[in-house]
Amino acid sequence: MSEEASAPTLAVHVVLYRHHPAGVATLVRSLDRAVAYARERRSIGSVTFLIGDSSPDPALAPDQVRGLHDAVVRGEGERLEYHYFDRNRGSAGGNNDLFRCAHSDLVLIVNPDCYASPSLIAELCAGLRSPDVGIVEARQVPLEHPKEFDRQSGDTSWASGSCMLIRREVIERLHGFDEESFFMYCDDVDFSWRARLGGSRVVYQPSACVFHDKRLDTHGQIVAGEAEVYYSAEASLMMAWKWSNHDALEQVRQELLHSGSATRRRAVEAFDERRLGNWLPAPLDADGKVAQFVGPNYAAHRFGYDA
Amino acid sequence: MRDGSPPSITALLVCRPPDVGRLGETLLSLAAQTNSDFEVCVIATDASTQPAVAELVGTFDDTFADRVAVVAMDPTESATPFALGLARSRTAYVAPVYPDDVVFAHWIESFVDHVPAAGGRAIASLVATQVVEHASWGDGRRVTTVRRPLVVDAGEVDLLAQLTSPPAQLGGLALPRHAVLDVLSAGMPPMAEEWAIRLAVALTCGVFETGEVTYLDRSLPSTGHDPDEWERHRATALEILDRRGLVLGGGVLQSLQRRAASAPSPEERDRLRAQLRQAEEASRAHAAGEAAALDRVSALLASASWKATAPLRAVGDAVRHRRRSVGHHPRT
Repeated sequence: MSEEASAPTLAVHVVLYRHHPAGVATLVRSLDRAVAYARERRSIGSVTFLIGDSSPDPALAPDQVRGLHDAVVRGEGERLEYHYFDRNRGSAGGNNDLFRCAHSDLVLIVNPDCYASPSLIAELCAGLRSPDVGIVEARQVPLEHPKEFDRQSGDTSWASGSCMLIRREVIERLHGFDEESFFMYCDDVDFSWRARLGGSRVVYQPSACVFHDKRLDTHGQIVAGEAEVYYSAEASLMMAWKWSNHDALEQVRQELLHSGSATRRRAVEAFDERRLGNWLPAPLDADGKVAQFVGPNYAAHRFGYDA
Repeated sequence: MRDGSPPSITALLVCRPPDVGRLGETLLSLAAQTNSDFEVCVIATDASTQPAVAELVGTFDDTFADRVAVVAMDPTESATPFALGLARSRTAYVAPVYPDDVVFAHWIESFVDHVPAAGGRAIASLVATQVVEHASWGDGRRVTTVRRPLVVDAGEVDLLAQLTSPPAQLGGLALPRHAVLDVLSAGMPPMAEEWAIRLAVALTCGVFETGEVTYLDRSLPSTGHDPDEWERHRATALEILDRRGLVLGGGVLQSLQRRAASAPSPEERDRLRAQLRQAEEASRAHAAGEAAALDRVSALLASASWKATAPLRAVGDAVRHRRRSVGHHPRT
């Protein structure tokens, strides 16, 4: 078997929602460079780019898809597929759909508002330093995630879905993201915790660098849109429920109800409706082996971007 | 750098040998810009740095790498790296970026959006600062960790405070190139170069503030300047600015600086501010007059015959020679 054939195969997932084609092209070009860099170092073998689209209308026209295809496919070692979902699948559902489109050894999930550093994929692969490492998380620039990590081993509580590399067997064992419970926030926290509950390690790889277009307001807080406010509120309730922290659930619920935000109140109402209808998932980790609720965060943080 | 018409802005980086390892994330943040109406000029201060920087740039996607020029300084070059970069750039605005700092994705987009409203003024974005700490990784590699970024400079640009401020950097600013060339053509002392640019450009062009946070200053703790040496360099810079008639003439800036540094009362500070505003108006009138005169000369050169315009062409040559000399003023 050649070295190329023995190197792990990779699928790169990007899920779009009304993203501008120029921005998508910029991201794909950066990923193409990162793929070439990793293949030169034999970190990976063949690659499939999978672009899923949850937009109400296709974000990419056929000629734009062809342009992306021509930019990254040079031979048998590369493929690019565009999948228009025809409905908003969120990040969890969109990635689950893409998981079924390729059977690579590794899956790289990247947010559409990211830009890959040339060494990103090679460094993420280097993070799979032992078979028990199931997920490797990249370091985000300009706003680094403040979640704590072990300075010696890189072990961390969970990996951000903005940019993470996952072994295929972890995805199969977990049956992908829990799209029934999490539409677009905390799907990554839940996925990481379930991976750890099953014995996989989640590690942070600071040398794997990805630019993530996050911005600060004049108070130094991360700028959040209306959808982010709603879905992160909904997800925070679901996390507390699913991970068996009833104190946290009640506290989060009260905080959201008294926040003065109609959007957050709507999220509470939607959660209560699911609870009444008995549509919530079965709670996990009752003895708190994995789940970490530290104030408003899922793990200890070195600092916060909020007030 | 690409051929054809120049973009709007040059991102100008000066890279000294210790900076090479820290340049990757700075370049990454430039490559990720949402608006590509810019070029990048990296001045490598010595010949050994240039190949390493060029190799790093070459790892990026071509659509970005093609817009980056990496220039090695000639060891015999007497110009400062910043002046050399300025001389190489072709754009109306230059925006200094420092190795290890990063810019947000809308850094260029924000500058370009505000160019019409700025009307020739310098454009200032808000700067977030972040403490960076270096640590050793388990296998001996070095990693950086950061603290929460804080947004500074949220108030208006305060020229009086600037007069007495410590060495200043230019991160977060897009500066009219001609105004910076003008300052540097006078031959500023290197240590006070950026400080003088900040002050003189604010005086002669004014500053338009975007109110958007687009620059993250992650500079490592300064090695510190010798305070006496810094004072000497600043005094020289003020003397040069006063001599050049940028303000009211006759040592106005030096006098204002001395009075501002002597812990004045609030009333005295108000008086100083009023004087500084006068200096600002005079400087802008002076700069506008100079620009109008140059425009008139250019118009005449373009419209009249060679013979009739020969004396004016001599004037033009002299002006161009003065502008070129920006690359050859002696270090002080």
